[in-house]
Amino acid sequence: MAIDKEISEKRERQCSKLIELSKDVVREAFEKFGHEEVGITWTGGKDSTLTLWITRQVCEEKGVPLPKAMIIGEGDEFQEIEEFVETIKKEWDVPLEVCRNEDVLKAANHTLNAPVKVKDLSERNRAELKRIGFDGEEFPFEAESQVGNHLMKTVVFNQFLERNSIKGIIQGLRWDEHPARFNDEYFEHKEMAHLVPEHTRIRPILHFTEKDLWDTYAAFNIPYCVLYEQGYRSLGAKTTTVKDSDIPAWEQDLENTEERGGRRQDKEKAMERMRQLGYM
Amino acid sequence: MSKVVVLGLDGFSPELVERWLEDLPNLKKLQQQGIWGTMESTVPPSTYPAWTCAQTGHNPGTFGFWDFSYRDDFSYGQPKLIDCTVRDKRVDCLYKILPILGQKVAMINAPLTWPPPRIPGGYSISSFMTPGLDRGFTWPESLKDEVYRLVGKYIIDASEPGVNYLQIEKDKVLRQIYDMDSQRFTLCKHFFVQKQCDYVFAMITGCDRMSHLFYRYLDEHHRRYDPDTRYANVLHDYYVWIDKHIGETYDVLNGDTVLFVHSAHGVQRLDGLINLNEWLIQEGYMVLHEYPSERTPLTELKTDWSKTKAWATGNTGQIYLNVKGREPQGIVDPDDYDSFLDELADKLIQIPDEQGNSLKTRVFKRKEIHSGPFAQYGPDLFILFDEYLWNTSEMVGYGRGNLYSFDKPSGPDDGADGLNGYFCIAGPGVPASGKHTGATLLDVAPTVLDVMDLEIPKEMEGKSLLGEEKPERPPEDHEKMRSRLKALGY
Repeated sequence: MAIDKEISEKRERQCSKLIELSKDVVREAFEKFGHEEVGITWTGGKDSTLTLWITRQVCEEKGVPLPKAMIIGEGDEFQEIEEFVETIKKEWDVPLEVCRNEDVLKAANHTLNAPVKVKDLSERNRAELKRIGFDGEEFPFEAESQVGNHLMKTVVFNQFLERNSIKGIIQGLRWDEHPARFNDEYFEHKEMAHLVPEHTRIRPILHFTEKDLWDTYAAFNIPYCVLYEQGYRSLGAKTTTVKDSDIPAWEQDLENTEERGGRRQDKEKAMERMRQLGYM
Repeated sequence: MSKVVVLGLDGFSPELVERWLEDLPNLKKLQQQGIWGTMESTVPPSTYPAWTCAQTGHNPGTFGFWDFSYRDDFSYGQPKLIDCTVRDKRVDCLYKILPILGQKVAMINAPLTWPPPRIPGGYSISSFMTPGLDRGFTWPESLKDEVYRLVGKYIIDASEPGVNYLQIEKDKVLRQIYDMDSQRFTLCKHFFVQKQCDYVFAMITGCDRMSHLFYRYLDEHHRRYDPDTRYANVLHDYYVWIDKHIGETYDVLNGDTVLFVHSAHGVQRLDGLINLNEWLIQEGYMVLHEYPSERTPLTELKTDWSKTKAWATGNTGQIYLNVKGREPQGIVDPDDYDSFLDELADKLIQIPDEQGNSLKTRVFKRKEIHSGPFAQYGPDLFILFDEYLWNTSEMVGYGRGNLYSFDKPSGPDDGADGLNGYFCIAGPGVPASGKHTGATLLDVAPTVLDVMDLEIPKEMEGKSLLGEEKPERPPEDHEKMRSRLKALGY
């Protein structure tokens, strides 16, 4: 599956240049940490898939295998993403570990929004809750809430680093996806802390805008998850992600509308308020 | 040059003013001293486009929304919620135009103002979509302390966020509405008298909420007419109370200020809803993969777009076509666009009420009534079932072939927004020309600018209601004004 979009020669050269910049970051990471101690995070989304594609090119050039990859299982996945990940895993021979906080999943009986009792959790998870200052007796099983996010994502991320002795971890973040990313750097060193191993975060595609990214997908026939074709711009957990359009992501007005618009919970609240005032 | 105070009486109805005029001495006096009449709303007469039309002098094709959600590409449905950042990128409201011309502006509760607009040198209090006072509701932020001092806890709407006002106990919601509107009148006077603003806009929401709550007690033709004497006079008494406040507001304006009272639509009884997508399915224009087991909005329907020629959205009769080369899976040939709309229109105007009585239905093609850069994304056909006494529902799942429903998707509702709004304008420089016919919402912004002796941007589509009778400005004034506007880039 490839994007049906005409990319000019000039634009293709610009995209190649952006890719080259990213490859330099990956090469530097391999030199610093050795490819065995580098890992990569993947979600099946457009940013991390591009990052994986670029990393794979550097590996081929150096004749080394792909770094160990992690994907987080939140218990609330789009089937389309799971299928895409499965296909690419086979095609690119990705050494993939699916990382889940099984302890939390079990305590929630694998049911979204079900209450999770803190006393049912393992010692490690309880310690993690203490670390972030949560002292309630229960919380709902929901990956986008603060507590859920920490246990379902941050904790399994740290455990992945620990388990595989990873020193450098590649991530697919971009400066223009969110104002909070503006100050991110290509290499960010994290000191060892309570329950957090020392590591360096490596962000090779920081400089790609959303438009650069889709043009690159089109120019180099990079595979992508079918949800983007249906209008999704940014993918998260299934129940908290909506689409704001039925037009493929790359055909939307990327510069004047919000990339993460479909992930705002404010939208649901606003609709509800309009119904309360008889408007919808 | 006059200052202007605009009281936006949401849903204020010209028919009710006429019916009760003898009990409304202040409006009667203003009508005698100035210009008044019905003010035609937008099609459809929906709060957001209607007030935006009034505040900009432009039709909805210019700003691209016809109710509360919109599309800005050719998606199925209207997946995006309109907010003021989108509106303000597309079109200039008076609160953007006037500060540039050196005028001091205050906006109270104007629809589509959350977050509160940052008006240079001016003030704003955000609208009914404010999610909570703690999220910020004033500009500048420090204005909130002044609001608290003047009126206590500011009331956002007839119900607090989280509560449906149509389902609160009637006496309780009634108190809340009076308290809310009192606050707005108090603040309106404050911005004029203490803050010395040149232009104050205050939206009085109660008129709209009251009509939706109490119309069944007023109109014996209402499907749910209720002769309960406790509420028989509630709307009348409220109009009398509003009239008293209009009088008080007019009294504090000094000799150089004009009072402009208007609504952006009327409210009339709601007879029912035509389930428009059910009808499209029945006629074979819309095809589903699976008929839903419960009432389902358009966005969640399993629609077979490859076989669907038309679909409907919203509550007020909007139909979109699925056009080949336009929508992702379009099938209507662009060459057949007009003839297909005619075919739909011919059938739609024949839909009777649930007892088989014919309805006075009108139909407009979009290009007949809306134009501008965003018109292309709008509905292709607008249907006015019995002049909006009948609304529509986009929901499917009422049961196959079931074309009528009587509660809105949000719940029971006594009122439907109608095309006729009301206006009255009086004060220095306003001729006592009495009843005026043919006014539309497009005329509001040009009239305000005219009253303030400011040049009306030529792109504005309406015209000043002061007409030719307004005394001409001396020519040197015109020159001065021209060079000032030129310097400002107009």
